[in-house]
This record gives sequence, C-alpha cells and structure tokens, in this order.
Amino acid sequence: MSAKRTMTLNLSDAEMAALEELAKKKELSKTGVVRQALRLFQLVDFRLERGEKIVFEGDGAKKSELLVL
Amino acid sequence: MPIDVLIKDKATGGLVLALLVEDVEPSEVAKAEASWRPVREAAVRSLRSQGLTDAQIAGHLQHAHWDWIAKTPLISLLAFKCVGIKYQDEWQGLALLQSGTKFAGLAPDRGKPLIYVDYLESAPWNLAGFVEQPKYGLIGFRLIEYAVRYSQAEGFFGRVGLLALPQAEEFYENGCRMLRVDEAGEHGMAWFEFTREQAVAFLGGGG
Repeated sequence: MSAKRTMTLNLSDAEMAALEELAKKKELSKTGVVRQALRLFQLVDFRLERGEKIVFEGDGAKKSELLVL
Repeated sequence: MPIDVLIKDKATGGLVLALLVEDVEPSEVAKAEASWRPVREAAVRSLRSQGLTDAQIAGHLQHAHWDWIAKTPLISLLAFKCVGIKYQDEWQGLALLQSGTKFAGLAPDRGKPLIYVDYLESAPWNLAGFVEQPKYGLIGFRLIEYAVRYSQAEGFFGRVGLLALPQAEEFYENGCRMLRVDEAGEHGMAWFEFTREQAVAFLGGGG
C-alpha cells in the first residue's frame, strides 16, 4: 500500500533463530516480523515518553510493570 | 492514491462514487471533526430539550462525545492508519486502524496479529440517531472492507478485530457477519473478529 525500501540486516545466529521462530509462529514473513517489531517499539516509546507505564497482567491479581530502559 | 468506492445516497436509493483516502492527514481529521461536532451537539441538545438526562442521552448516542482531534497525535505512528471516505468535499466517515498491536482470539489463528479497528465513525448526518433523514449509507461497510484488505496487505490474511459499542453490535454481527468472542470483551464492549475465512466471505459478499 506504500512504496518499500530495501536494507541489509545483519543478525547473530540467535537473533536469526528468534526471528525465524516468530515468523513461523505468527505466520508472517521475516520482514513482516521486523516491521511489526518496529511499530510496537515506536508505539511503546511514544507512550512511555508521555509518562505512561507498560503493565502485563496474568491470571488473578498477578500484575507486573515492565521497565523499559 | 484515493480509491473509488460506492456509497449509498439514501435520498435516491442509488449508489454514488466516493473516494476512500488511505492516509488522512491530521489537518483533514480536524476538518472532519469541525464539521461533525455541531451536528452531534445539536442532537444532544435536542434530546436534552425533550427531557432526557445525560445518562439517557449517552445511552442513545453512545459516541456523541468522541473527539477525533484528540486522536491526531497517534496518526503519525507506524502502528496507526487513519482512513476516510470523502464525498462532495465532505468527510463521510473515518476509521482509525492499528496494525499488529492486538491478536486474534479465534482458532485457527489465535495469537496471530490482526488489524484492530480502534475507532470507526460515519458522519453524524449519515446516522438515524443524529438526524431524521440520514444522507449516505454503506460508509461503515466500506471502511471495514478496507480494514480487511489492509489486513491482507499486511500479511494478516484478513484478520480484523474490534470492540463494539452496544449500539454498533448489530452492524458488526449481522451486517458484517463478524464473530463475537465473548471472553475478549472489554469495558462493557463486545469483541468482534473476522477470521481469515470470514474475511474472505465478507469480501465475497460485496456489500
């Protein structure tokens, strides 16, 4: 839906393995995973800069705040 | 490039050619809000003059308080896309979409990313709750249609999800034939979803 540009991405074996695992699990291309990761990173950064917090909730009262450095 | 879409002129019952704009600029969102707000406010005043309480008005016109200008800081983010339908130089509807920030709740793609319809509004002059004679129809349908195609383009196979205000449940459930996911509702709103199969069926329906 918009023009795309190409870049070379250098990853370690572990990073590539994680990328391939996520791509398989989410049924996305590796490019798709990187694009989604960038979107989420930008959104998280935007909200943290506005003073918001990231909180994960689990079963029951389990709740933990994620500190992003 | 804007996309040609057909919307319904309710005065004649015929279809007319409108433009769907894929990336609506914040200044255009502000124009839409500036033209929609007086119509929303007039409808609220009318109900108030009939003796309805604010709580009753909020029940009748559940999105009368929406403010698109407040959403404009999000539009520049990669995860967000604002799309709109324009006809006769007026915005007839807007939708704020999020890509990959929420995940499917239905099998077989549970946990896989989808397009989340954060907000979708047809101009108040198109809605029976706000005016006696709505002008144009199929606005919401075309915006949902776009969300499905965007999902396909993103590699999400047409998966789309949204939280519906109670007044909109009928449209999503019976108009679009999205599937209700009871356990995924939030804030008193029901979660509706297109699986990849439902998405294909929806596009095949043609509106």
